[in-house]
Amino acid sequence: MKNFNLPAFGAGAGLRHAHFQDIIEKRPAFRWFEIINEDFMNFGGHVRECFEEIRKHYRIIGHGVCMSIGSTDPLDMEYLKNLKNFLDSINSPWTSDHLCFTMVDHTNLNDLIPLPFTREAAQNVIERVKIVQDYLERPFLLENVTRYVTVSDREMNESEFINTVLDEADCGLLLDVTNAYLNSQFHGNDALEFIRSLPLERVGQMHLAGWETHEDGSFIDSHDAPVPEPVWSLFRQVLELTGPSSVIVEWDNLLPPVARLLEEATQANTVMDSVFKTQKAA
Amino acid sequence: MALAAVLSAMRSIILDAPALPSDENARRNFYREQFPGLSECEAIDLAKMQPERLTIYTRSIFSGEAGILKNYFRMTVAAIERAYQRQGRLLKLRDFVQAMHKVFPWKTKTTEGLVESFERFLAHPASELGDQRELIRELAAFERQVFFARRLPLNEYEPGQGLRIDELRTRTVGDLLTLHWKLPTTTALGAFHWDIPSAQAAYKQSGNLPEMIDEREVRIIFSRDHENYVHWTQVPESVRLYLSSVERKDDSLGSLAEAFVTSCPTHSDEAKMFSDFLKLVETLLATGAIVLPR
Repeated sequence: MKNFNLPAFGAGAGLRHAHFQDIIEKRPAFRWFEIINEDFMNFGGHVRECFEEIRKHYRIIGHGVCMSIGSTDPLDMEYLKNLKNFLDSINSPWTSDHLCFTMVDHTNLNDLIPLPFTREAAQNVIERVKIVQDYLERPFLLENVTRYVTVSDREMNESEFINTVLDEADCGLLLDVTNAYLNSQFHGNDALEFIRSLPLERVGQMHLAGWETHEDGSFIDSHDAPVPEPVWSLFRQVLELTGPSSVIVEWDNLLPPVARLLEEATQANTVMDSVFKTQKAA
Repeated sequence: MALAAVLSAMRSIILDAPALPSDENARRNFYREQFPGLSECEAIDLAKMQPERLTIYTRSIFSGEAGILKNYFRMTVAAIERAYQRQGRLLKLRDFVQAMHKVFPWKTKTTEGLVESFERFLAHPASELGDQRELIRELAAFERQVFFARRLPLNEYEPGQGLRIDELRTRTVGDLLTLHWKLPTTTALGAFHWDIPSAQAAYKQSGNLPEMIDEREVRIIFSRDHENYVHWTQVPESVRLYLSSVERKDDSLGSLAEAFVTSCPTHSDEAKMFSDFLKLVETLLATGAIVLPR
C-alpha cells in the first residue's frame, strides 16, 4: 500500500474566505483546495455561494478541527450526520481531523490538546475512529498535532501511540511535516527519525506551514508565515520515503495575497517534481 | 475511567488556569488535591508539564475566542472598551473572555455557542459593565441578529423564489390581500430601546461608536436577500408583534395589513395607508424578510 491507496493530487492550499473573490475572478492555478469542514457545514449566504462557485472549478477536500476524536465525551452523532451530508455534497474523496481532543466535559477548549500516550487513550481513539469511518463511508486520516507538552509517555512514546492507533483503527495519516519539525524542536528529538518510525504507507496527505518565532527564539504553531527552509528540506526527505502524495500549504493567519500563496503551493510541487524526477533518473 | 480524569484535569488546568507551583513535586501534590480522580502516576505525569508551556494553550485559546467575538461584535466590543474607560480601566478582551469562561464556558462545537455565552455574560455582574450594561446588551443583540442572518442556511423558503414585486403590482387589492407570506430562516425580529441602526451607520462610516446613542424605541426586521446582502428594516411595533406571534389567525397579507393599520394615526387617509402598506410589503420582499410562495 502506498499513499493509503489514495490518489496523489500534488500540492494545493487551504481555502480562506479572504481569498474568495480573487480566486473566483482570476482562477489561479491551484491544483486543489482543502477546506475546514466546520467553516462551511451548516452555512448559507454569501460564504456558501462563493464556495459553490469555487467548487465548480477546483477539487475540494474537507479537513476538520472539531471532531475531538480523543475525547471521553460521547461522539457527537449530530455533528457526524451534518459532516457526512456536507462531505457527500462536495464529493470529498476523504476527510481528516486531528489526533487530539478539543472538547471534554462538554466544554470547548477551542484548541488541539494532545493526548496522553497510553493504551487507554489509544483504545478510545481506535474505537471512535472505527465508528467514524463506518459512518462517513470514506477514508479517514488522523493528523499528528504540535505538542507544547507531553501529557504522558510512561507507557509509550508518540511514535508507538500513532502506530498503534493507525494500525488497529486501520485509518490513514495526514502527516503534518511542520508539526513533526516543531515537536522535534520542543522536545529535542530528530524529526526525520520520528517520521521514519511512522507507518508511511498510511500517509494519504501532508501539511506544510510556517510559524511565529518570538524574540526569545520560541515558536508558536501559528500558520501565519511562509514554509521555512528546514521544513522544505524535511519535506524533500519525507517524499523520498513516501512517494507522491497530496499536500496542502496551510497559511491561516496574516494572510498573504493569493499570488503569494500560489507561490508556496508551486514550490511544493516543484520539490515533488524534482524528487521524483531524481528518483526516476536513479 | 482514568483517561476521563486526565482529560478533565487538562481542561481545568488550561481553561481555569490556576496558579501552579513552580516546583514539580508541589505541582504533583496540588494536582492530587485538586483532581482526586487522578492516580498517583497520572498526577506525576501531569506535574512534569512545565506551567509556561501550558500557558501557551491558555493564551492561544482565549485570544482565539476574543478574536472571534471582536470580528462579529465590533460595536459591542467598542462599547465595552468605552464602559471600561469610564471606570478608569483598560479592556483586555482576552482577559474579559477568560472571565466569561469562568461563568459561561463555551459548551458547544459551534460559534453560535460562543455567541450565546458572550450574551449571557454581558447580562452577568462579572462582566463589570456599569451603567452601560443595557445599551451594550442591545448592541450585542443587534450584532448577533446580523451574524445569524448572514450565516444561516435556508430551509424551505428562499428569498427571491416567490412572487416578485412587479407581479404584485398587476393584482387587484382583493387578490393581493389573500396572498400568504412565509418567513425564511434568515428573518428575525428585534425590539430595541436605543437607536442602534443610526449608531451602526455612524460606526460603519467613521469606525468609531458615536459618543451618544439616542434612546428611541426601534423595531427591526433582520433579513437576507436573494443576493445574500443582510438588511435591517425598521417596522412599526404592531407589525413586529404580528410577524413574531405564533398565535396570529392566518399568514395572509390581509392580516398583515390589519396589523399595519393599527400603527397608523387615526383618521389617516385610506388610500395613503394602503399605499404605505404596499411600500412596506415591497420592502419586506426586496430585503428577503418575507416570501410570497407561488
